[in-house]
Amino acid sequence: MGVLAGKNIVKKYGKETVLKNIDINLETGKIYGLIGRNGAGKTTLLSILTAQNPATEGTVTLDGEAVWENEKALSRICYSREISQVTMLGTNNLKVKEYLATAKAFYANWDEEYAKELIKLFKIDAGKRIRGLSKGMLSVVTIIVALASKAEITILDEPVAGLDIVAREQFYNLVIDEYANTGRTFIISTHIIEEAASLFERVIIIDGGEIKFEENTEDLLARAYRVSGSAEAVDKAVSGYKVYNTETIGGFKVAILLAEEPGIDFGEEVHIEPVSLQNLFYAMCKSAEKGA
Amino acid sequence: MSDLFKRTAKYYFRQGIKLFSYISLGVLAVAVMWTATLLGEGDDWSRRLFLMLLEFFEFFMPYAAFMLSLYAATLNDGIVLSMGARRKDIFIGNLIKQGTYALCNALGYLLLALPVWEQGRIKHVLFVIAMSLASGASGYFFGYKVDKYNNAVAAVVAIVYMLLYVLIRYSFVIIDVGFSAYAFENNVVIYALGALLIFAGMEVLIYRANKYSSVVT
Repeated sequence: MGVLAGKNIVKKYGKETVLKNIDINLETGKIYGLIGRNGAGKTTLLSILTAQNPATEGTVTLDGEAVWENEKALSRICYSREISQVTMLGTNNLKVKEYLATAKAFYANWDEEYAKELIKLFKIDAGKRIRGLSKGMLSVVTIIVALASKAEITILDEPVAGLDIVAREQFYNLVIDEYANTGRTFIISTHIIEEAASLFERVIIIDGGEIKFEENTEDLLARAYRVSGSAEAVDKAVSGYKVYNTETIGGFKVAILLAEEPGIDFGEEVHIEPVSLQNLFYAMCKSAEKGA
Repeated sequence: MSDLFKRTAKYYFRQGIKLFSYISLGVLAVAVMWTATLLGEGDDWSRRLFLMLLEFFEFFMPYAAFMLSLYAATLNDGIVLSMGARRKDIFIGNLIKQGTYALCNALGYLLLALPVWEQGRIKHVLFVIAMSLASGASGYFFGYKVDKYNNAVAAVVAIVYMLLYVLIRYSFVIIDVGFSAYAFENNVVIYALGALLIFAGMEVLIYRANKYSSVVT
């Protein structure tokens, strides 16, 4: 098992610090979900982990070797990111097939047959120019590059943006199939948490340039509770716990909290339900807003 | 020689050939149409055609290198970097691309010059090679800076470069500009050497800019 590790990663753009002393260890052979609000630092973190962006401070290693300018490390990683339709000097006139041909040229394990199957599956016109693609089709191209690269560590940054429900389900099934057949590591950044949560073996939650949680998804959700009941009973039951969000309607109150361990008994006066990853993340974001 | 370097080098070599193929076809097509409009009765069309092709080729091919290199830093190299290439390989890859383009220009010029060969043509071949390299490197370096500034700056840079290029190439028609304007024909080699110096200087700046470049989306 390998480890893609980032230690004390700091990234500054001028006076703004986008990533603040991030320590992260990503073990190979797992599917990670990276979630965070817009501007939290997800893309910046991923681009630094893959040496596509230099860190201001800190180191990134893969199995102990620096990733920066390291062929051995870079050959094991694919970071398929959002494709720009517009460049600094005009539109991106590359055709899809030219873009994929570039990917074929650089990814040592590129599977051309698989790429062709994916082109057919997602019904994309490879002769079309990137500037003319819809948002969904752009996502399809990044998915094709990621999957056909057959890279040991495959990172996808918001791969389902703009995809319809059928295409999204196709993508999730493809990731599961690839993982089951090859044991590849996937790190998927997404805002559509509810759908993708079942894929994630481990979840990384990033906010304000800091990693808040990096944990086994099931373990995290086992510690999350939705406590509801009368306001008085809920307040009594949740006291001493980290409550992220509460909602009160009349005398009825709901609280989302994260305990230190699973299986907590909050008493009979309140009703306990599990919390989905999306709802937990939403509660964390609301809490952060209130804190700000 | 590492496998990744070989893949990168192969990719940029192909880019150089592709660049030359597209641009030369365009330039030659324009040159043929232009000449056709100028020909009169009794003209030695074949000689005039080849002379015009040479003129267009010598002027536009190196300048095209400048214009297209403006894209290279942010688009082509950004894509390649995002696919796992190393920055040092990209730097050398661009040298390969520029060198391939320049050599193809030289070969193209030589082929076109055969029917109207004169002794002085070799100097023009040197000029074509040197200006192709200098233009490509200059465009590439300014392409990095355009990322920091904006399109208006790129347009201004392109226009200024065009004016300087015209000044150098057609200096023999400039009279009384306040300093001694050397005739192009007498000083082609000097201009070529100057272009090579510009190329070398630009590559040093490019190397520094490339060392910590990042993928831009």
